Amino acid sequence: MPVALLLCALAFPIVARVVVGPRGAAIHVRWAQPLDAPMRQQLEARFRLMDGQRMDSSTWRYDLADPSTENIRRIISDAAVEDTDGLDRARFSLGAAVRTGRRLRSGSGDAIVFAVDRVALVLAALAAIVGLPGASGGAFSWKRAGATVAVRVRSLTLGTPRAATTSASALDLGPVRPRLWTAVTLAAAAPFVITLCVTLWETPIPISEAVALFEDVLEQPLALFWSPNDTYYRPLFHVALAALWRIGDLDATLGSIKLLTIIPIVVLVSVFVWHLRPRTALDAAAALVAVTVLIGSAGFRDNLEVVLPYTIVGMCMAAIVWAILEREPRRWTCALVVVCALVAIGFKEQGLVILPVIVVAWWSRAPGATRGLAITAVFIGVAYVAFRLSGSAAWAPFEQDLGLGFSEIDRRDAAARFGAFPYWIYAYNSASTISGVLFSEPSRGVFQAVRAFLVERDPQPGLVVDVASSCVLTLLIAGWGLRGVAAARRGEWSPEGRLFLATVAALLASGALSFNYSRERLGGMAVVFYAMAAFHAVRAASSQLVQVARVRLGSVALVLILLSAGWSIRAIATLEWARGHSWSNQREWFVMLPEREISFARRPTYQRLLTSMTEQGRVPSAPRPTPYPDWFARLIGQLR
Amino acid sequence: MRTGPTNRLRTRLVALLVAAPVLVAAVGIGVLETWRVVAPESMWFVTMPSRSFAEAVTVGDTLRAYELLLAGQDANQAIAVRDPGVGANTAIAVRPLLWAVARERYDMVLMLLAFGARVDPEVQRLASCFARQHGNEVVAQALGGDDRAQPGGGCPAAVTGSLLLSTGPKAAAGG
Repeated sequence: MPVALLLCALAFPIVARVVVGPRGAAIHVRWAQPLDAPMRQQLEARFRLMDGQRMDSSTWRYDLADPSTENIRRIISDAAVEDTDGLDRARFSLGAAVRTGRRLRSGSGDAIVFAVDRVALVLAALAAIVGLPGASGGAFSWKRAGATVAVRVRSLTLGTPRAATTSASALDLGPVRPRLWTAVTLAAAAPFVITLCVTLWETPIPISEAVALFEDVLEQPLALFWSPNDTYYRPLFHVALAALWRIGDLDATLGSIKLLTIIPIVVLVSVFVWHLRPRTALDAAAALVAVTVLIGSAGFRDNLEVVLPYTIVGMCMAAIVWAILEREPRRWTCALVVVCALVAIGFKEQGLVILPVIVVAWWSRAPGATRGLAITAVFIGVAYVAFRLSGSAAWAPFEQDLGLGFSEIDRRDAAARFGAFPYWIYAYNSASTISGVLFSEPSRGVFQAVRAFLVERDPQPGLVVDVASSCVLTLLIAGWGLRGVAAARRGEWSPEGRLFLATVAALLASGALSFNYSRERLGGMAVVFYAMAAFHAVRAASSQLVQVARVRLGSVALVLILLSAGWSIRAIATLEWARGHSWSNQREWFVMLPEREISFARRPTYQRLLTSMTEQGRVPSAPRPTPYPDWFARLIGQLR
Repeated sequence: MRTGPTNRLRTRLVALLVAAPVLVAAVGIGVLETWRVVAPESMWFVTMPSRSFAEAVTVGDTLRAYELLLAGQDANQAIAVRDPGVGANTAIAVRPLLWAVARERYDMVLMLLAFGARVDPEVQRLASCFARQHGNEVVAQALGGDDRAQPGGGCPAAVTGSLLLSTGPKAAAGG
């Protein structure tokens, strides 16, 4: 614990500075004549020149928010800029300019760094207090402190004596070092998570959906979002958005909205690894594959839109709930599980998936799941459904376009075709979502891989990787899970057996909740459990691999390596998807803005939001897709 | 069951093999992203910006086209392009909007329309038919004007890019 606190204390300030960006600089710019005001303002926005103050007819003093070489080069080389002061024109760097605040990505950059620095100090102090030998009683002595440090360092690197005993008694898979292997897993997962979070942080907020959503929470009374009449019921999300818009500062508000997606991702992956708690090298290898399964799944990827964090919050809550249920109950266990479930449901109806998981945990005797908790879960589920059905009169038979076979059907056409008896198509949608999680096919109800392979005769590598890695992993999970259930029949519920059951429950619930239309994001809640199950299945297969004869070792190992490689590629594809998403959001500000300004001319709040958000939408440093070589771009689905 | 050093060696080997792809990916991502921070303008991260407005429209470089339009480029000024279907290797003059439609650069089409790009009504109707037949109803409607109430109505059976461009030089010449 002290080591973790100390690492956080060291890492937080660095991460904060990387995230909010560098400090700005006070510079002077002399504009070439003639330059009218609108043109100058556009250039100021493009070069991130803020707080302009006129010095004389053509010279202005600015706070340069983006002091990167690229930006300085653009300023100096622009024909509209006659001269500059404070910039090194030969090296395209800052000259003798006075440094200002950190405003590159958020107006509150300095405040964020200040707060994070103070948190780091507190963490360092906590690390010292927790790590002191005298903290658990008795007087402090340097000798004892030195001895404790020596023992802790030894336990980290060589394993504890108790651990050695444990490993010798079981199947010998190497020394048990939970802290070390958990730290290794987190460290290896860090590049994926940090890259994803930084990309999302730098992603512009789009026009479509976002501006209208913000307009809604600014104009509509909050009570409206609690009414059951709307098909899409996300009251907590709307309340959270409304609260964030009360911050006042635009940059801080938009940054906080992005954090609604970023923080759940960090917590989800951390809780996920912490719960798996790899104890051996083999565990760590399986946990790493499981992390790539989580990040590489379409159900995770499809929930990464920066203004629509509904299900990623639910996924984070599901991981927390399962980690709590698998531990001995404390006084606060029930309350915390119920709060997590309610938060997940309040953000989106997919949060309901947590309720059957709680019931399954109680039925299979999970340590933290009491009968009272199971009854509460059932009560919440029944009450929610009754409440929603009370406002269902205005619901359309199909809310969105739906996939069927090899193509998509417009929702109006679907209503005409299936409206009289929609239950078969509802069943198809549910089955599609479940199958999408298990086999990566169909996607949005459309059999894209089958169509590419059989109809178009163009087996796209990206689709092949997706389907093959999913099918192999699902087979592994099925084999592992059925063994766990067979053991449970003898009355021995193990954590593995329970997890398998919870995965099945989460899949069925996700399928049921997506009856109206199938999308990858609707399988997100089940992905958390699927990825946990992947850990156990890969670990079991790897353990067996240690035992098999040398003749079979090669072939079985090859399957596991290919599986791991497939999911690693998919995790990279998720990062690239996020970059593509950022570019797509930015393109909207180039392509859609003029049309939106005309179409929504009579909506003043919409117009005001459009105007104020344009600068962030066109920021030059927004992430763009990496120009990978074509073969790799095809492998990660960047090129189809 | 195997025991002892052989088993441990195998365990380590299996763990390494299973984790290797993930570790390679993690290290690769780490190196790539560090490099991106250190040298954001490296050729690995930045595609070369288009050298002219015509090139930007041709390759669908929306950002560069936007910058040029902001800097005063006329969205209606004919650009010189080469299309094998029309004039083999001869350069033809064509309106940017028509060229963007023929190349199926639909983001570019919407942006050009926003900057006031237009072609003759009859040609624009043909362009709308082309977009519709190539599955982009949004662009078809944006181009279609009064035709939006009649999807597919009044369109020739199959509008090709070459057919579309064959109207281009005349439009360009006629201003």
